[in-house]
Amino acid sequence: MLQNLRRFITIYRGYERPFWISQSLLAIATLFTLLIPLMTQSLLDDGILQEDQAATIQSVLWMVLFAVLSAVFTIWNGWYAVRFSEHTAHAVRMRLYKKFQTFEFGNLDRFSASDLQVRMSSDITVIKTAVQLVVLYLAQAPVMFVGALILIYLNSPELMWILLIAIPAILVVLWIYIGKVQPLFEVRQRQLDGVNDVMQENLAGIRVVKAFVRGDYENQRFDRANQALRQASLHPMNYAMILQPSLVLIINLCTAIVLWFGGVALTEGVLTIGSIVAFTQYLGSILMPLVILAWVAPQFTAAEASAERLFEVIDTMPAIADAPQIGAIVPPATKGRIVFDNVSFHYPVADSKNSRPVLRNINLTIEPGQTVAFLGATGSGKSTLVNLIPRFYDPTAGRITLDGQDLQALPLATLRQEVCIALQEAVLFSGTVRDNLAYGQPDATEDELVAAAAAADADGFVRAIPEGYDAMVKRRGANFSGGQRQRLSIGRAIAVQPSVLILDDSTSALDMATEARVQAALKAMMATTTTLFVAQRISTVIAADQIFLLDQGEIVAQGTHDDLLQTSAFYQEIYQSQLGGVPA
Amino acid sequence: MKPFLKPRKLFSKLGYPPRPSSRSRVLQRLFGYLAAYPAQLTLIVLLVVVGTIANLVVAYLLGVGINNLSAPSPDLTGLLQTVTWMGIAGVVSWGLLLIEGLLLANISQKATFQLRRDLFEHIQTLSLNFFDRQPIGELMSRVTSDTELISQFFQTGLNQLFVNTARLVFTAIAMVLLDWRLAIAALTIGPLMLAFIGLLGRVSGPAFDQLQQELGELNGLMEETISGEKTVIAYRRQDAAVASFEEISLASREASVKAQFIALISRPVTLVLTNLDVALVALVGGLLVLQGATNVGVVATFLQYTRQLALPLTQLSNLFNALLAALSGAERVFQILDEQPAIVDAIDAAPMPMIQGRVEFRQVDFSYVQGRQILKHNTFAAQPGEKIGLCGPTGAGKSTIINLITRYYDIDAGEILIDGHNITTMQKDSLRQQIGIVLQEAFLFSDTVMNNLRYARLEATAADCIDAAKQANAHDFIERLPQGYDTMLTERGSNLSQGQRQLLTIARMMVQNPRMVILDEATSNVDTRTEQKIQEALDRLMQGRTSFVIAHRLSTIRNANRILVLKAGEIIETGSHDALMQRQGFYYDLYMSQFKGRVAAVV
Repeated sequence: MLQNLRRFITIYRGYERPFWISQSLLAIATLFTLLIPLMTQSLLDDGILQEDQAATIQSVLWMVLFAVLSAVFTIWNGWYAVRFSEHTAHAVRMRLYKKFQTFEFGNLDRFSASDLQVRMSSDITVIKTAVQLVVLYLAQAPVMFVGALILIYLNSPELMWILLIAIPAILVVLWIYIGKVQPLFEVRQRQLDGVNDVMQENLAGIRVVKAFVRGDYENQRFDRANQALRQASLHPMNYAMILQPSLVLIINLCTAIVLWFGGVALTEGVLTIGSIVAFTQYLGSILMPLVILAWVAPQFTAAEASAERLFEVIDTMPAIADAPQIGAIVPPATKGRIVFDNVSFHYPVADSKNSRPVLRNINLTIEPGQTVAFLGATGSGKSTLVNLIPRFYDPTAGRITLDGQDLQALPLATLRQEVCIALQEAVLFSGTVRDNLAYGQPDATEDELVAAAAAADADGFVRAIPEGYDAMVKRRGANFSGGQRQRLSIGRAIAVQPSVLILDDSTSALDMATEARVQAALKAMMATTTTLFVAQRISTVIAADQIFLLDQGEIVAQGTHDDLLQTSAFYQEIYQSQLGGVPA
Repeated sequence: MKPFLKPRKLFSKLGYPPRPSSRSRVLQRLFGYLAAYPAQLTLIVLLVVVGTIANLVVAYLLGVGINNLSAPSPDLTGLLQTVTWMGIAGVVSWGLLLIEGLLLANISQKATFQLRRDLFEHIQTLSLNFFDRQPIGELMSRVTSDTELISQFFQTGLNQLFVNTARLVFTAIAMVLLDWRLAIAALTIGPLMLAFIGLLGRVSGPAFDQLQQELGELNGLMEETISGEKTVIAYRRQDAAVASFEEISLASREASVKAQFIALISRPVTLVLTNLDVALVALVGGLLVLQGATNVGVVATFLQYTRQLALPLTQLSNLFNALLAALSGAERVFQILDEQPAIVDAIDAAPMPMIQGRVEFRQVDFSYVQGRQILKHNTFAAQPGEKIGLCGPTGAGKSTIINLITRYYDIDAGEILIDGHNITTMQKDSLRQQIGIVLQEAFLFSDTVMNNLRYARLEATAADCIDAAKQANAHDFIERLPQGYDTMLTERGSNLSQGQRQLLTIARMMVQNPRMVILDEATSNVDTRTEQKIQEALDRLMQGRTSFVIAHRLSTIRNANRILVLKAGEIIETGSHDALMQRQGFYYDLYMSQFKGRVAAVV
């Protein structure tokens, strides 16, 4: 039970000592609480009923002392509980985040961004709360039970059987409650997810909703999910509403029973009034931890579920890793010759029927310093092909070499230093424009960065911002247009000064004039760099040394623009549709 | 390596929402949702009162029993009677509070349901400018987590609030009625607790604000790196990412320890105050009994009552935090609810008659943000059935023009007429229903292909949809999907290519059968082969309908009846492709620059 959760506590290293200290503190606090009714008893029996003022005052002073000590130890334990749970949360968060940072593209395809975000925030909070509750309350209930039983055994053994009935009765009620309510909470969670899904999808597609004037339809859709949630929330809540009065009822009935049997025992001279009153107070004391138990139990199931989700991430192995003996190999000085030798690839999919190959038997050679373009329809595999070169994915068959060296034999860090890619999605990070340009080459000089920006046709618009290169970029580059983001992203790649530069459809948002400028600048600046373009527009590829035309995962034609115009009907077709009818 | 981000600085620059101005107003409004059920609410209050009093009777009877027993000759028959009444009072209290709980559960769920519904329905009425102001992702997480905070409070907190308040009040009353001197001793706890909670609030407020801020930074950084992780990998910046994450995670840990500890202190302090109170009652009671001013039974009852105060007090002080969380959630929810839609129909707005397709802009000025004008004196007219191309550099205002035709925004000056009707005098829904839009970003719902197509016109039959799919050249690939038209589309759309998704949105528009068509870069994310298919489909769709087409690739709009060339918010050239080429102006430059490479290759 709760294995995943227990596994988490071990993440917080050195957890044993603070844990045992905290539980000892809690036990001591609980013992002091238990001693207070004992003083009530002596107050009544030795003080009031004996009409002894000194004994009365003495009992009260003891009470005060025990109360204060109990509070001190409880607060002390609280300090441990908070530190313990927060440190655990931090440790778990770091563990998760570090694991996440070992992820490769293949791993990222499996987890969506929002899903990971939820796991790293909400799920960790849930676990943190559960850990805190454990430290706060774990030792309390057993110490309270055992302590109360011992004290009652010593003082009024005649009434002990009542406790032996009351405690199991309460436990049974709790057992039923927890057993019944747990699954109901899970149902509720599912319905809540349903409501949130509708809400999120609606917000994401709000423009479509508005364009089709589908507000009413969306409202109905939401209402259905919302109704289901209401029903699902009501069920566990009803059980909770039954629980608390029932616990109070058990205590009240026990009090009545104690009064009766205590009264009978008193007339027989075996019990004192003080012990009867003390007994009723113990009944109240043991109720407290049980109410708390009922309150925390659902949080544990939630925490167990969260823990499972977190371990799913933690137990994920990076999809790409250096081979074990990699350190021994000295990589050759890279010039940028790339060879694909019969390479095939398909994405791993759980459903094997769907895993049709994305690339089939690709053979190609790219010479150092060449400018090469990949052209083809969406889904033809051109983006996947270039993603194999920095080893974002490994081919499922065949091999790829860089300057004669198998990619898998190169250290990943070296490979990715030499092969730099401006991804299809131009992501910028919060920070300054300069931070973003220097992202791949943190020790680049100002001149290098400006030159890179200029080559990407970004220098002009950056200088047009009042703060220039110190201008702040908002998260995801939200304050820059799509075209500006693409140009900064290209500039960032250029600044790395790689041997192989790949632009994965990263000029799509530029108008053609800008694109032409970027290409010319690249050519001038990076004459020795092997440059690979993935493109959909003919205008992007026209000047390339080699063009590879892909269709459904295969290279169907290759050559220069002029060659292809002569030899490939497919290429002509594309050319006609895009540039046909231009005055020559 | 220096860290690549300095998020601490950044986020403090961006600032945080202000502190709740008036909690009581928010509270009132929140309780307004419960007040919608006055009969149940009255009954609930009644049940709580009687149930609580019955519960107090139990402790009172305990005192009676103790008195009986402390007499020189205890009366067992009387004791049996007392015990029986205790049992009865206990059962009555149980029954009443149980019914009360179930009733409250019912109405509090209804209230949460209503709040969620209000929020969702209100969001549907808001105009695009609201969604422009904040990233959708932020809005999503705010809406979902805030409503859940409120829901949690309604679910667990509300009953506690009712029951415990009743218990406190009636215990106090019972005490005063039993013995005012002991009552004074017992109730000293009240002011002490209040003073303590006040003190705690003063310390915890800033601590929680600090925590909120740290958490905001943590989540911000997390969101940023998670969504941009492919870039982090490509540039091997994982270590730097971990370093800056660790820094923030540590800061949030420290802030959290502080805030949580302050919050936690309330429980033991409440307990110790109760215990001290018990001691005080015992002392005063003991001395009073010794003086013969009261009896042991009363003292026993008082000890029981004082002890019983502990539970409601701790629960109420725990509740306080939950209440504050719920209130701050509620405040943000109400902020959204108070947001007025920027675009509202005039009271006498008429439904838009069947659009013929004459669109006229007269001296239109527009700005998204006041003072930053986007469109200046735009004037043009499109005749029914014309295809109008819009071109110009990024940011020239092309998309803005089409956002205005559908009245997503209202203009600052000038007039927009469709078939001679000023669009601000028409019902916006009836206008939008007749205009079909295809955006660059192909958004589909996670539902079946068929339901996505039907989204455009709910009464469309399956045959209508299949027909539209054929028109849009989408039928073939849909048939090849595992379950054809019943295939579920996933949220991330991983089972369709970008081009296929776009074909579906065009098919969807075909189902809508709009009177006017707007294409905003509809094919710029699509490869050439698919584009041809799309273009074919679009040409079919635009036949006889006024259409507006924005495209980077000028070949897409070459056959337009008229092309509007925009630059910095102004229409600087207008005319057919041939006319504009002859003019050798801005359009000519734009067009020729697209073929530089080609000219070079030919030469």
